[in-house]
Amino acid sequence: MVRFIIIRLLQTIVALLGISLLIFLLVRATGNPIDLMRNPSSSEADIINLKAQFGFDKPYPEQYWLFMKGIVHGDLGKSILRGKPVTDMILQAAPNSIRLGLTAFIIGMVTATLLGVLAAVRRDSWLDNVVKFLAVLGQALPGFWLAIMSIWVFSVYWHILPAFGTSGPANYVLPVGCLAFFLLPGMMRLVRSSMLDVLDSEYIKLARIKGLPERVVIWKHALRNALIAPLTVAGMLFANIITGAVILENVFAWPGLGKMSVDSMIARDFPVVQGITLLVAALVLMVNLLVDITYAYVDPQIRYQNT
Amino acid sequence: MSNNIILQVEDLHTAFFTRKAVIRAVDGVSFFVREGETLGIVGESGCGKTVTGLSLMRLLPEPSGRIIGGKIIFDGRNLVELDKQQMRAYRGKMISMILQDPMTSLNPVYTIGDQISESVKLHQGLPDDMVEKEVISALRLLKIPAPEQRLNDYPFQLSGGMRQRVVGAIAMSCHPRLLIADEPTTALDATIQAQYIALFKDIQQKTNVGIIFITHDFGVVANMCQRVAVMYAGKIVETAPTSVIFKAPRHPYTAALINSVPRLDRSKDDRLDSIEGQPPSMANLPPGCRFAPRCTVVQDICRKQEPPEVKVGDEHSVSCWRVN
Ligand SMILES: Nc1ncnc2c1ncn2[C@@H]1O[C@H](COP(=O)(O)OP(=O)(O)OP(=O)(O)O)[C@@H](O)[C@H]1O
Ligand code: SF4
Ligand SMILES: [Mg+2]
Repeated sequence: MVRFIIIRLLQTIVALLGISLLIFLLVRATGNPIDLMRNPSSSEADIINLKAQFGFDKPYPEQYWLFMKGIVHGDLGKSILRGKPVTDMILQAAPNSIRLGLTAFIIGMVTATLLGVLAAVRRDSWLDNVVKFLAVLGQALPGFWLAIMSIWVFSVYWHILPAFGTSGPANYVLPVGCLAFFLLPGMMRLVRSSMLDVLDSEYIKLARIKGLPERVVIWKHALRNALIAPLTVAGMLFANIITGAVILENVFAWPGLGKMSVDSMIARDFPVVQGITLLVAALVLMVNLLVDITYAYVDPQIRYQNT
Repeated sequence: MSNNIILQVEDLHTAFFTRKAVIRAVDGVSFFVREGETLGIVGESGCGKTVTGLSLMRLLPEPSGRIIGGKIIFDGRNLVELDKQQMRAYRGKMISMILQDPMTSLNPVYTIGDQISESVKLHQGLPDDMVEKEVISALRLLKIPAPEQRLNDYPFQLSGGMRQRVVGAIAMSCHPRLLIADEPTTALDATIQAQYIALFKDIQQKTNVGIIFITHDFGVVANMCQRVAVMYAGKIVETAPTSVIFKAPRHPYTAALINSVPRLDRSKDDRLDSIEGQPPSMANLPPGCRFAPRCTVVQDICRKQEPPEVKVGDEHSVSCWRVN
């Protein structure tokens, strides 16, 4: 198990290096970012000055070296727009996003698992039908539309929940709810179908033959097996959450990384975009690593194969 | 073997209510099992052997499968009348079952030790250190080598034969009085199969457990069972002591089944590899004797009326018009 974690950790670091190179190249692939910021009034000297200030006058390998050196020191450069260090800006916005994203991820996963299991156990009951309906609905509804509708219903029409701000728990309800909905339907469907397969298996029959109460049969013997398949996609679902967060933070004016990234993209504030992209990539990789470790914990066969 | 009857099944009817049809998978089955005795239930695929076993456990697939009639008297109580809670107390403790496929009947994500101790804890309420002792003694009973080391193994680390022994250990861990073994050796290769059967004969000697041994192989019956019930299309067509049935089978189906067992004292041409034709569909049974479409000695009456059960000897009865 320890070896498995170390190997996966090394893989994660290699992937991170690859991504940093990719981001570095992509930002420069559309031409010199400074050229894009040129406005009619700026003189040739201004441009050269700016290029020097952001290091664009140096050859690419040296630029990449400096970029990486900066990352290691926690220095992601300065925002062109605000002149503030990107690291500071990210540190300020990140907690808001993490609170939103993590809460939604956990709530979404737990709810999806619960509903998926119950739907499978009570197959064809009203609950199962509700779950199936939600699954279809979730796939059909665009997330931003759901967000806007929920604001309209809960904030504008009923006045029971705030649509903007981050001051209290009530502020979290709508954004977290909408964000959780980005993964809920898919995950729920996966858990349900996986659970149905497991419930049909011989070892579940054997668990009942042993005289175990239904509670133990379902939540111990069946659930752990039923989670193996959905776990493989949980990492991808986390990426969904990030996409969702970018959209929802803009809809709910949530002062997090998602909103910041869109604002900086519009302003072509490339150091900020670069920094956020790198952070998000690292985050997705970390979550995938965590998912893999959980996966190995749940399925002993994986654990033994990889050591 | 004593004369103490532990299980008496009377006119058991089990049906599956599907959208298309009502399938009477077990249609009026009666038999009994004594302490320390092995009763074989033999028959072709689909005749209702497994459904009979699951009915005794009251573990039919829900919601379609249901016991619709008859009695299952175990230890003086009719199991059909018990509620779920009461029935659960019998499962694994008084009555156990071994399933056909050792490769899939253990939970892949829990250790052997965990899966056995679970039963022990549930039914015997022992403190932890005693539980481990019981688990190891169950593994010993099944002659699993180095039992202490097996406790932390996962099923995928064991061979098929070893897994089936673990399933046996789970079944025997709470000292049940009745064991239903549903083709426990079918998936194993010949030598391992013979070992497994020898093992259970030994276990029976030690524990006096009554066994229902489900199989489609008369060879296994000869080796393992004191008495045998031959099942065809949801009914028992002949039941007799094993020694009698091999010498003088009275039902044409029994004779054909015995005939299809490979034997050294017979030439290849003399032997039927299998019985001509297919068993009837359980959703669409022929009138009269269910074996009539395949029977080589069929008479007119066979196609019109079901043959009654006739007692032809000591613990030997047959349902066939030819026997009257
Ligand atoms: N869940 C179910 N729904 C509907 N019909 C079923 C179901 N399970 C079994 N049956 C029917 O019951 C009949 C008996 O099945 P059973 O599994 O008892 O056969 P078997 O004698 O154990 O055969 P095998 O040797 O193949 O294990 C079959 O004809 C099958 O069509
Ligand atoms: S009752 Fe008739 S058809 Fe049925 S087994 Fe006997 S002889 Fe054959
Ligand atoms: Mg069967």
